Amino acid sequence: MYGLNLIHAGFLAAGLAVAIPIVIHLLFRQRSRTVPIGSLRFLRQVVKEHRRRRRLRQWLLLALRMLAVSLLALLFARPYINDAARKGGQQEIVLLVDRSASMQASSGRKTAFAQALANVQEELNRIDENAIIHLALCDSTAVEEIPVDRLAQAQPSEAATDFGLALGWAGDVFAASERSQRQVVLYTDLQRSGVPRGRPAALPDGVELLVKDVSEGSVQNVSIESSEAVHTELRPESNVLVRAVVRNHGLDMLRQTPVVGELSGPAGVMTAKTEVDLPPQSRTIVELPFAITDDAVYRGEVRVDSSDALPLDNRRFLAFEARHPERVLLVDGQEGRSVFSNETYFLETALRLTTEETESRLRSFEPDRMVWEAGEGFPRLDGFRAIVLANVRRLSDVDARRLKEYVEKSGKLLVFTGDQTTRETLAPLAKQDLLPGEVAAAPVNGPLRVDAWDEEHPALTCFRDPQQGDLRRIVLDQALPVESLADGARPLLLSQGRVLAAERRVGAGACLYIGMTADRDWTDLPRTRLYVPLMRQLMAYLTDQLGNRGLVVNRLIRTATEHAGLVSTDGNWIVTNLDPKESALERIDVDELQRAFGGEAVQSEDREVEAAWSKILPAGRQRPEEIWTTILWLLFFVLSAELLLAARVHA
Amino acid sequence: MTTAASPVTLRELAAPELLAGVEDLDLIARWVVEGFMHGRHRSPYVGFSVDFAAHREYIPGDDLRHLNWKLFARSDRIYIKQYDAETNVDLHLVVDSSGSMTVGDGPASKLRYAATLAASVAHLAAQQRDTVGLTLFADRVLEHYTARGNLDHRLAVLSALSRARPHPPAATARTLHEVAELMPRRGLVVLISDLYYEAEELLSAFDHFRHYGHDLLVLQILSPLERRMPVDGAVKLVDAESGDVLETIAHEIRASYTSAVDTWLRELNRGCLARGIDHRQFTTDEPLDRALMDYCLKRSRLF
Repeated sequence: MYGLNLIHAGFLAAGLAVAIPIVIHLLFRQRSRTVPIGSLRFLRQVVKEHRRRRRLRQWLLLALRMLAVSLLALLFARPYINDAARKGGQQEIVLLVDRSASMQASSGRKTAFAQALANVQEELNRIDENAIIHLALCDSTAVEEIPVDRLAQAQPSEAATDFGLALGWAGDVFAASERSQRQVVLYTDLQRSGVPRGRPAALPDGVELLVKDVSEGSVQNVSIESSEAVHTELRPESNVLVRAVVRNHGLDMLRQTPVVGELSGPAGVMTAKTEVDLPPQSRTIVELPFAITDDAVYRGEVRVDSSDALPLDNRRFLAFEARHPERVLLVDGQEGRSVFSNETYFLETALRLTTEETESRLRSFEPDRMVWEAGEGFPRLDGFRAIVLANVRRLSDVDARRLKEYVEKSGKLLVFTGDQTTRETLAPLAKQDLLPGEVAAAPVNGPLRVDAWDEEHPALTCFRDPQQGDLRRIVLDQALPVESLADGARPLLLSQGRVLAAERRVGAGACLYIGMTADRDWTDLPRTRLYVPLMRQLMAYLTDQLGNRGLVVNRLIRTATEHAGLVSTDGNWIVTNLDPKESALERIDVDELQRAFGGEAVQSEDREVEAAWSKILPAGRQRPEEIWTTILWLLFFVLSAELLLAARVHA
Repeated sequence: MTTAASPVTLRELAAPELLAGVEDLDLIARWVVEGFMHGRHRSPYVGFSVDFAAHREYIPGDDLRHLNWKLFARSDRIYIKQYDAETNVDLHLVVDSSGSMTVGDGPASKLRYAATLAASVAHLAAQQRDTVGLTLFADRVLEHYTARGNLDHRLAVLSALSRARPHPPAATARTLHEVAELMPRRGLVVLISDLYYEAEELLSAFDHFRHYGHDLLVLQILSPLERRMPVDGAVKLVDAESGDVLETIAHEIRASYTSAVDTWLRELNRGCLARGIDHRQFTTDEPLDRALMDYCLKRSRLF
């Protein structure tokens, strides 16, 4: 409504003080003294003219004094113009609707998102038409501004909450605003996880933050926080385990809650089921065994059968590749007295290590060790992806030929030398062109430090980055280098011009020669941190596990239109799941949210209540439409005029 | 008759404060006149004496024309020849005794000031052996004394001036016509009044006096309040004659009032000048010497 309103209307009572000038006027009116005069003849004509002017001045003086008192009272009452049009013209409002997954929570009635839309519609009906309105939907993926008339079509997303992103966007909007009354109204379920870590960018000065809680308060929620497959290497008598973390966010104990895992594979759908007790506000790890025998990508979901406020997070999708490990034959040319002194001990240990699950395809090796000293020759070589000869002597021509056949059929051969290895012992291999060239007649004494390597070789490319391991740290006490490289051979490691390691393609396979021991006889390499990555890298190269990215990509919801689920593209699987922190419905206090963003937050269900309180209580802050400065100037001019007039009247 | 040989100056003697404090009008008149005469460079008697009376020693201020050069040549002493004044001039003192003359915010009321002035003029006239008459008027002629030269008459005149009486209001100047009728013999008329009459009526009355061949000297007496309005603040002004009251802020109307009075006085003065009448205006806080000087000059121009 148009008009002048007052913040402290009570001060208007001070307006009664206008009586003071009147009293003063009457009390201190000049008392006339009687003076006899001979004739009033000239006085009459003069006084008649003067009296009118004087009376006018006196009334004017009285009016000025009363006006001054009234203005003073008005000044304390802090008037402001409640001009709806003007206010609307100075108003810019950002209406932010949280559309994160948690806004779909409901305990039977409307979801929080539907409630938010209803509240926004009410607010839009209230806002003056001259105000600038920005309506936006926000989650952790983006802030999407939509036209006001498309409010009804707005849909919630399955993304997480991010107040920092939303209010940062609002701050950017207001940074370009020239309007004096700027307000952000945030409709949210006040999910604590939405507050960014660290100190978020504060809202610009003068921006009011109004938070409207649209949730139904504390609700029961159970979620699958994570699901993953462990032991995906297929080994005999070993099941693949799907491990899920089930979290009870509520305050009630849930007993015998069914947790079901379903996987699809070449053999059809497999199901594993268990029942768990879920204590309040706790996590429970559930492992579901699946008897998988075939190499394949298995996909499915783990779900908890519970009726809670947010069904969206009751299941979690997963996919994984399960396969048998790559078999590697380690031929130990010099068995030690103990396991630790075996020639292939360090190599076997390095290959048996399981590495972290990454986006890369799992590198798994199944090393089979045989001692060459027994002289029984090679076993059947078909099942092995690679054969490692470690300090093997007395290779017969038959053995060499078998190796040649093996390599030519895409087999891989890795040869380590040692004190039993000489040019003569390696002659059968050389004869079958299984060596990269002619090796030295006798070992070369060191120290020999690797000073160059083939950075373009797929197995060694990663060592360009010293963070991954610096090959220059490899120092050999002795080595049996390649003296002359054969055609097509590729040197890998060099020291002072000597070729310490080299590769040669043979048929569909390859032979890799390393002129040092696999154990610590000639080098201390196995004790360094470089050993395991170097050996696994070389072996992954030989078993074709290098550079292959995983067939499964796990990710969280990245766009507002995305949904949790499994998508297959070109044989790869994309697993999309909800951000687990979205399942935590723990709420943040409004004041805390306000402090986090440095705005002035007002949590109010009812604006009329707020307006009523603001009339009663001192506002404590200046309203932009206050006109006390105008009143002050007016008072100044009135007092100045009063002073001048009083000086003339009472001179 | 007491000889006045007081060393006091005229200003001291004719000070209005002193006039207000002394009741004996004759005494005052003599003080005033003697003091007035003393020390003048040019004697006011010059020109209006014909018969030699006596010699006296020269005092500074005496007209050198009246030096007895022969005696100076013989005795080497300077004497002034004194003459008896002619008595063929009738001096008519016409004093306004209306209510408006009773006011005065100065040391003396206008009437008191007028009476003293009239008495002093009468004393001067007596010294010159002029006959002195007196007319007191207000809305009518209150008292009238035909001009005579003896001492008793002069005392009667002084007594009339100092006597207490009611002072009725005088709204018009028609009474002056009656006064003019009472003085058919040509003479010198000295009118002492505040002249609060219509200018037209007043000048008409002056014409009446002039018609009878009178020389008219008008001495207008106003109080300082009436002339300059020297007070400040709110005042309730009471008309001394009608009792009408008018409230105003004195300092605010001072300029306008003074201007109006100045205009009035200029008109009067112009009217008098056109009729060959000497018009002088005094306020009651002024010494009498200027008025007496005016009288003397007027008197001297008669011969």
